[in-house]
Amino acid sequence: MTHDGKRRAFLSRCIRYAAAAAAVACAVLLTAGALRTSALKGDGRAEARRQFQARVRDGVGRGVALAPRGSSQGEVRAAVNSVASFIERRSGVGLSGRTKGRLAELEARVSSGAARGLTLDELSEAVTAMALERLSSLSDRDVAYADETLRGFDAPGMPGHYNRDFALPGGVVFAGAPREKTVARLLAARDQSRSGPAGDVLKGMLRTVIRARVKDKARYLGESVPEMFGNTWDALGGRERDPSGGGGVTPLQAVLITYSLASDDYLSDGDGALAQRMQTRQKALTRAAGEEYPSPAGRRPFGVNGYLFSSPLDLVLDEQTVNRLLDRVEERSAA
Amino acid sequence: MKELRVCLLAFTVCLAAACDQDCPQTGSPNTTYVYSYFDSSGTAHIGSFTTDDGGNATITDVPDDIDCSKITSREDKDVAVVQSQV
Repeated sequence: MTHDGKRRAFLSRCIRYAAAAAAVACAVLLTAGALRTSALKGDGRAEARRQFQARVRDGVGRGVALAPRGSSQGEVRAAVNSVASFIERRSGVGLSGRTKGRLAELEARVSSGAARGLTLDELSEAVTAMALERLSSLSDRDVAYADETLRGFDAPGMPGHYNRDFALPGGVVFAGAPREKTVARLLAARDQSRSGPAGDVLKGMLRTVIRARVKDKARYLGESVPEMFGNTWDALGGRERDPSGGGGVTPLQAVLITYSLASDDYLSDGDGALAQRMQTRQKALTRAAGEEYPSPAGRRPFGVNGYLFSSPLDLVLDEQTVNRLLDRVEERSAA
Repeated sequence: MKELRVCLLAFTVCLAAACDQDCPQTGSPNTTYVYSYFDSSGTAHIGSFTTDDGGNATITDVPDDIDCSKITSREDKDVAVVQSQV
């Protein structure tokens, strides 16, 4: 090989090494970047989860006093009153004295070990049956009322550009869907719930949704407030507690979870934080609409015409429907 | 998985009469967002939704002539809401 040939071969090798080094460097940088982005996203999600858990502790954790297993009748009754007061303060829906008395009896039986708690599947079945039964019994007028209520907060002086869009608990909003369309859908769902095969299809889908939601609630409540919901969810093991081992959802927890499902109240945020959320929302909507959005003063965050989420909670948690839920809870907890 | 659950509820309601397109949204858990878009006639629409405990929500039944990417949503605390023209 001539001197020039050796030089060219040397240069060629150098170029190849440089190219290979650059490729490796790029790969390392890209991988590191991807890992860093993924880690940041993971950190962000974990931080959002921690913040949410703190909000749940500030809400149900401070606003409700559940009675631990083995509590006295008086302690159980006080726990029932604290849940009823919590629900009423946030949504305006109250439980009657008779219902609270029955709830205290059922809770005391589980607390003493005379009855057991429910599995999450059993609670889901009871809630699904209650929801379908209530849906099938709605009159046309009830359906129109439910549609109006699910269109969100309303008050004189709403901004012209603000759409009161039909929304369901769990983060589903029907953007721009006209009233006649959503009422027709609700009527169709009601009629389906009354018929055999179509009702079975609806029941199956509803059960799937409710089961997932019940499990999510048990999980985040168990993780956020283990001293109150540790009997339903094992946060360390990441699974529900076995009712045969003293775990399971108590009747009072069943009512609280059902309220949460129907009202879209995640049981997070204390009174002060909820008031702050409502004020922040008013400011955001006023700025977005370019007109003053009605004030939250004197408004409740949840329930009928709730400022944060409006739902026909008076139809769902009426005396008869709550007691039908308790019938099912009693039946299963005695098994 | 959680996004699917949110969509499944929308689908259950849409069972009787087909809905238009879904626009899935992701954000912080249990947080209210303000959304906005302009329809094909240039009219501005504003609404709000709250995410679930996993931070998911879906804006569904959106008319087909509206592009999901043109729907702007901002957390309540972000008072400045940006709107997009379709």
